[in-house]
Amino acid sequence: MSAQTLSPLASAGTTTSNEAADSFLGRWGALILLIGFLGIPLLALLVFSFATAWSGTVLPSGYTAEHWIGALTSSDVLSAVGRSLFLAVAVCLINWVLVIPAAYVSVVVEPRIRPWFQALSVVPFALPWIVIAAGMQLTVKEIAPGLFGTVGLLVLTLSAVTFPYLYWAVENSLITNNAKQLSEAARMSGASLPRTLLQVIVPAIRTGVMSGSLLTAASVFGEFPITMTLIGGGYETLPLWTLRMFSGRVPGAGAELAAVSFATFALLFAVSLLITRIDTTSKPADPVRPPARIS
Amino acid sequence: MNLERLGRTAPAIPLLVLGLVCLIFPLLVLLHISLQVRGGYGLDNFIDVFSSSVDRAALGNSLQFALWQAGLCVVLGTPIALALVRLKGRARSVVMSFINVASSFGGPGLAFAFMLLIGTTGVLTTIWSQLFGQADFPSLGSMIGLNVIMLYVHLPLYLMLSLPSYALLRNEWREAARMSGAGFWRFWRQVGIPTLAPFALGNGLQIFMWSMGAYAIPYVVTTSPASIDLISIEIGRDLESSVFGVERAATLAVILMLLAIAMMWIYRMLQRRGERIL
Repeated sequence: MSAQTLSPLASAGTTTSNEAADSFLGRWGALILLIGFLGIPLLALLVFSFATAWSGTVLPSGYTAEHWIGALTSSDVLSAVGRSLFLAVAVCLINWVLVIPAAYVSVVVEPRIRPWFQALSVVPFALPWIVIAAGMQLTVKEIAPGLFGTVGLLVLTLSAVTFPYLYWAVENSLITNNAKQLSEAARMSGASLPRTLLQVIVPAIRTGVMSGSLLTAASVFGEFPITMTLIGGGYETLPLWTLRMFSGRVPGAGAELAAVSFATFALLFAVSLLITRIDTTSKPADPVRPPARIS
Repeated sequence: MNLERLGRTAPAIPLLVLGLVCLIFPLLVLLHISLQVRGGYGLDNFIDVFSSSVDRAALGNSLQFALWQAGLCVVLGTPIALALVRLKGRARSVVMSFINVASSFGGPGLAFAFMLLIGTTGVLTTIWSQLFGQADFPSLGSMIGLNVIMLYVHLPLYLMLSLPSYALLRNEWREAARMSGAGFWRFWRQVGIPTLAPFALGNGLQIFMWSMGAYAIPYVVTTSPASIDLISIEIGRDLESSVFGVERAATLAVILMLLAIAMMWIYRMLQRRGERIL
């Protein structure tokens, strides 16, 4: 999010110098506490990932890069990253195909369908994902046991629970870019519906598509409860790898876990900064637009 | 519905089907399983759950944990959100990105980070015991430990939810209040708190809801028998082992679902009230 996204913030930022001085301590105090609380655990991960040994002492006894090299060249880590990336890309592709036309229809063609999508998009936002995972597992076991434990089922379920990220972003973009007029103009000049969508609408809303997709990808990449419940250790994604490392029984796992966790945070931070850059045009239209959610 | 309109809405139908099949239908199945008794429908499964001391404890722990998280977020998050609202430009977008990532960083890696800090051989535990003698920090799987770790995820979430509404507290109002002689406390008592309260409560409720369903972190830190039991984890363990049969998992899931629906309803009400004030 940027200053422009939350435009009321910009005007709220101006204060008289007197008042600013009054609240200077409180303001920076609060922010420093926040950054400290969020930063110290990351620092611990970073230090541990470079430590030869660190247990029961204030500082590690020595430093080494071998855990990083070990983690980044481990075939387990690489294939877990591969699986998580595959899930993220597959879910994004499915959601592009399903969500963009649906959002287009509900904004431009038939607004009466909009409440349906708004109601549907509240479900994965309000309900714990473990509840959805439970429902899906029991449903599949009852109706189509052969599907249980398949990657296809996982991809479909993840597409369903993450569709609101893309839907909200695309809907916002369609509204702010006057998609209705755009598409009327395109249709008047004789463009077919697929052509209108691909050549006029999608280019106009690409920032919304990008920011929605990045949110989707980030939350699929770190998804735990649904993956654990629907497929488990049979398909070790990165979060499931971190679980195996955490549960121990693998000697020296902690330092690799620390390295990978820190790297994941850094990567997501970079992606998030990227979203900030991209997401300067769309404004949140719905007050219940959720942030990416994993746990 | 005529054919032409059906044709025009057709591109929206696949998503509708996905939503109905993967989001709505499974919930109906859960409801169906939870209400099933021998030879028909009944509330027996719910009676079983509420009369079992293990399940009652899990439900109680979840409610208590969620209440703590919501309370901590409102109390700690409100001053931080007010400070963040005034941050500008580059610093703001960096802090926001940081918060954004932290809010989705809940997994075994985060649990491990806290173990490095406040675990039995953690660095803060070590520093504390060197300064003050024996350190007796709560374990990560205890109510306090879990609250500390989960705050890492929920405090940033709360901030992201609150910022848009907190920004609505206009600075001109503060000016106007000062012009008419109201001091700091008077302004907050009569303008600030009444304006922000519906939003703060609504966002607190949101955190409450998400805490009830928190999964990844509790899953990894509550494995020891001394740890607390949460309802979300009970559901997950049932699904993995099915020692208790699917009815218990489905019933617990329906209880979480009903709670979430109730919370959502209150949330919407609070939000409407908040918007009316503005």
